Amino acid sequence: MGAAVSPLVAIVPPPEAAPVRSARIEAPARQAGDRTEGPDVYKVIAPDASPWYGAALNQISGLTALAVGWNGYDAREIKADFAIDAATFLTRVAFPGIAAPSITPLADGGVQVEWHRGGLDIEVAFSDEDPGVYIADREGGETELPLSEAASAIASYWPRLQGS
Amino acid sequence: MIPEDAPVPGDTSLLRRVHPSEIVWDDNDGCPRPGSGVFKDPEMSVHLGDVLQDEDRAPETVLAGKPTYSLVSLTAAFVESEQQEVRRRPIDEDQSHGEVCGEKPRGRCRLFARTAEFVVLETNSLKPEVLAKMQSAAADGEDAAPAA
Repeated sequence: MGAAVSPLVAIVPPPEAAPVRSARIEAPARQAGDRTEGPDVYKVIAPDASPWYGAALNQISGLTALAVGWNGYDAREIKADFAIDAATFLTRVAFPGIAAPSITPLADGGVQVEWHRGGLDIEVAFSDEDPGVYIADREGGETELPLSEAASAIASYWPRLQGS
Repeated sequence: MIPEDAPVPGDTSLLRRVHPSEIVWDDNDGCPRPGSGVFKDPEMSVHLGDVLQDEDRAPETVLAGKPTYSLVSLTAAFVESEQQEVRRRPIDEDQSHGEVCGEKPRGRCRLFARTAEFVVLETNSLKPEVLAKMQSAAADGEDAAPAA
């Protein structure tokens, strides 16, 4: 008979799975691009984040450039507040080792961060109309949680969300 | 010409455009699919396949002027089995326009996203990570295929 496995094993992320611990803002890159005036341009650096973290932030920034009707119908512009909320959430869950999420715009102006792996479908929606965390476990069960529990929910599923 | 009040047969294709940023890679199923947000609108615009057929139009014509978009399809019978009502709502620029009306909680949106089939998958405009995973999956499939 094998050793008993604590039920906590599945919900406590390993030590290396700590959220991004240090993000710093680097000195203004004033000469970036062709800009010669306007506000200073800073760069956020998070050296201990997952490798996909920077690209994900760029994707979120890119969504804010979508114009009204971007989905081919009547979608709204992506709201800056939701882009910031999504970026802040990623800062808390970009554990080293975790797989890159997909980042999609929502027609109501929101942003959705999602993982589809490890038998899980996890969607974290930052939006006006239907904000929250939706988790479907293909081994059984669906769960909906408030956004305030989003980061802890991702941490609890860390073993099944590891990148390959 | 199909009248606006004509019933929508169950086998009618309901087509919906998908912006490249709405396409995600599903590692569970090993394929790309539309994100669930595509299907969230309680009055979701679609294009009715029977009208397109009646007008002798190919489904791809729905993407005219939108070369980076993809096109997915569900059937009327399927969405009706999920407590939705399909309505013909022709507009000046598109007689095939219709709506799928009804509440769409998250579980239902996810079901629609997993069930929808690509009629057009515009690979040239996919997000790089989605395209890379598609190519990787295709290469794995070739490796696994028995030699001829």
